[in-house]
Amino acid sequence: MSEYIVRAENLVKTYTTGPEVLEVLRGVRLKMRAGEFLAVTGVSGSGKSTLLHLLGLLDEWDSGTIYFDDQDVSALSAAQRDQLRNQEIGFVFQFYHLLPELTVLENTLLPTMVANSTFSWLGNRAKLRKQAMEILAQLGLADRAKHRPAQLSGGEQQRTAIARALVNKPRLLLADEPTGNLDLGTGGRILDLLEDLNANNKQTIIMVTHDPDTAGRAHRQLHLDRGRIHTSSS
Amino acid sequence: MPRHYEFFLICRYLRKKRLAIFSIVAVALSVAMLIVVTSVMGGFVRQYRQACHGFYGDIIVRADSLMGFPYYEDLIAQAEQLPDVKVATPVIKQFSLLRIDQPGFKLFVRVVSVLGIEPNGYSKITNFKQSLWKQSLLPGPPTLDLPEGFADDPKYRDSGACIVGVEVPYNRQPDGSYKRYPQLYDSPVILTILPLKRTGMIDTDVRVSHPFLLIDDSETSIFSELPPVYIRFDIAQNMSRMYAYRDIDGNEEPAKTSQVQIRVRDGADVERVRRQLQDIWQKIITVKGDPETVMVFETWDEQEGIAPLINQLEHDRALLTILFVIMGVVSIFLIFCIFFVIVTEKIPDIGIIKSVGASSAGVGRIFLAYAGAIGLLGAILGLAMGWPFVVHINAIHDWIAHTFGWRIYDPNVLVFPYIPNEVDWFAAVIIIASALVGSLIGSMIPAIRAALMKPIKALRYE
Repeated sequence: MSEYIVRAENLVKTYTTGPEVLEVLRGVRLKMRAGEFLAVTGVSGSGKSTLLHLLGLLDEWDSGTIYFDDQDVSALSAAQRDQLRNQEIGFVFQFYHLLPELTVLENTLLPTMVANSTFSWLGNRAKLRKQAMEILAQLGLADRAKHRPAQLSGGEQQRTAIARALVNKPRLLLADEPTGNLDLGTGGRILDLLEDLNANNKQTIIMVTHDPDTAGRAHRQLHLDRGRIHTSSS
Repeated sequence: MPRHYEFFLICRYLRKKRLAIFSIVAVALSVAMLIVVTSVMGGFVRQYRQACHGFYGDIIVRADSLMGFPYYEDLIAQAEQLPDVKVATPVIKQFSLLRIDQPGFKLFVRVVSVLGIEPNGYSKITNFKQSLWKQSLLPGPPTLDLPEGFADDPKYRDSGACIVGVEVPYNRQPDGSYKRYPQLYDSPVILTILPLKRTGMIDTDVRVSHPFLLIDDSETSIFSELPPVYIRFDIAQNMSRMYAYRDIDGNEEPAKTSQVQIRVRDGADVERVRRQLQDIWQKIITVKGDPETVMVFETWDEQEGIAPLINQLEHDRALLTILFVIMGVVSIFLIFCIFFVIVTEKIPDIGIIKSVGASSAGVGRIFLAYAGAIGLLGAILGLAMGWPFVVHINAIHDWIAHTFGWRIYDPNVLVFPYIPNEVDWFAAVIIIASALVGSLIGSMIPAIRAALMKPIKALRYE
């Protein structure tokens, strides 16, 4: 097992809009140990969400390397990257991104449906549902399992998204402004939850936020400014 | 290998998407229309072929002249020796004028085709007996003999009885049936037959108009510009001057007939039998002398008057099928548009699904299988609509005629009393498979677009 669960070396990402080339990340370096809770801060447009998307293999980068357990992920096939995203990485987004046609339980189970063929899913259905229900109970959503996202509050939707992110027991949880769309009280409870997960389950978390108070809940902070890491504090 | 989320989301999208319902209905309507058109038009072609085949032998040997041809007895005798030939019978075919002057009918004279037949042999080759209004119900072979009470009537001594095609005295009712007048039967009609001399000129020295006793009618469902009137073969032979005689120079003139109809055994090779008959004819004329008549050996569907109508029906069916295939292509385009909208609407979902590890191929498969399910459900629904429509098409037609006064199908045009109401299952299977393939083609581009979408681009899509 590697010392670092994820590493980024000289990550560069640019966006081209017509003749204009925008350098969003300009050689970012990052190392993340298992069990750490890291906050990436910065103003809007500093590249913090882009960094999170690259670490979560949701986007392509122009140059540099990302290692997951010392494995250069650019050397992986598309199928291996999909599997890595499904098994080792969980996402929590600012706008929850739940499927509106599915219930809370079904949204939570979605990564397990991606991981299993129909036959294996049907064979393990009871076990997987029980596992998902335990996570929902842990997040205080057991009585909301059959509700659809539209019937939930913002906090409940975000907790559903966290349940979905955790259902496959990923080693890395990536949270992009997880409280950005919530009121102070609800946002605080979401942060409590992330802290609990990190403290009790040793869940490795990288959280992007522009709010210094929110960032203060993490063990360590990286500050991004115009695509470069300027400060790192513990 | 497909993952469970693909199956799960397809089922969920089918349940929840109104656009999917529209797509299914579009496919169903196209499938139903194609099944109805191919079944009905194919049914007309099939019925007409059956009707025609039921009224002609498999092979017809005829002279390409109204003068007829000799040695037919030898031809029949030798033909019936062939293992593949079931029965052969002579038929005289002549143009004639028919005059009916009966109470309840206005005097009319019509050009008809007189068929001189041997009823027993002819009914072994054709469905003649089943076509008769009165005699079809009686046991035994049909007859053209005078019935009791008329046998000794001097008026009919040289002529006899006749059976007319049902379309000669009657017009078909709008519902396809014929309203018959019983008083017309067992009453006289006049047939004027013009006999030809050896020179091909009309023999004006003999009586040409003869009274016949009308005893029955025949309904064949075969369109003919000249409706038939059946009389006995020997009488037709006499009146057409086709009997055997010796001229004033002492030359023997053999008896003639217009044609010989041959029925082959089931499964026999008709082409082979035709060649055998040609060989027999060659041998006969080698021995007896060539009458220098142009002879035609044709199968039933090669006859003048049948092949063009069958071709016309086939052509009409092909034309209608092409029109509906064009509508099917429009449906494919409609499915493409609907799927483009569905995929556009589902872009955020695509991002979410990919963010939890779904592959591009898996996302593409969702939309392809979704379209396949729409095609399959649409095809099944189309079959469920088209099948009962075809089966009950006559009742539906009658209901429309009764309720709105629109009688769309005129039985007088295609001579069948009813619209064909059997589903062409072979065509139905092809149509269903095409609907499935068409749906997949229509959804292919949107599905590829969905598959190639980058997850972060999809998540940011508004």
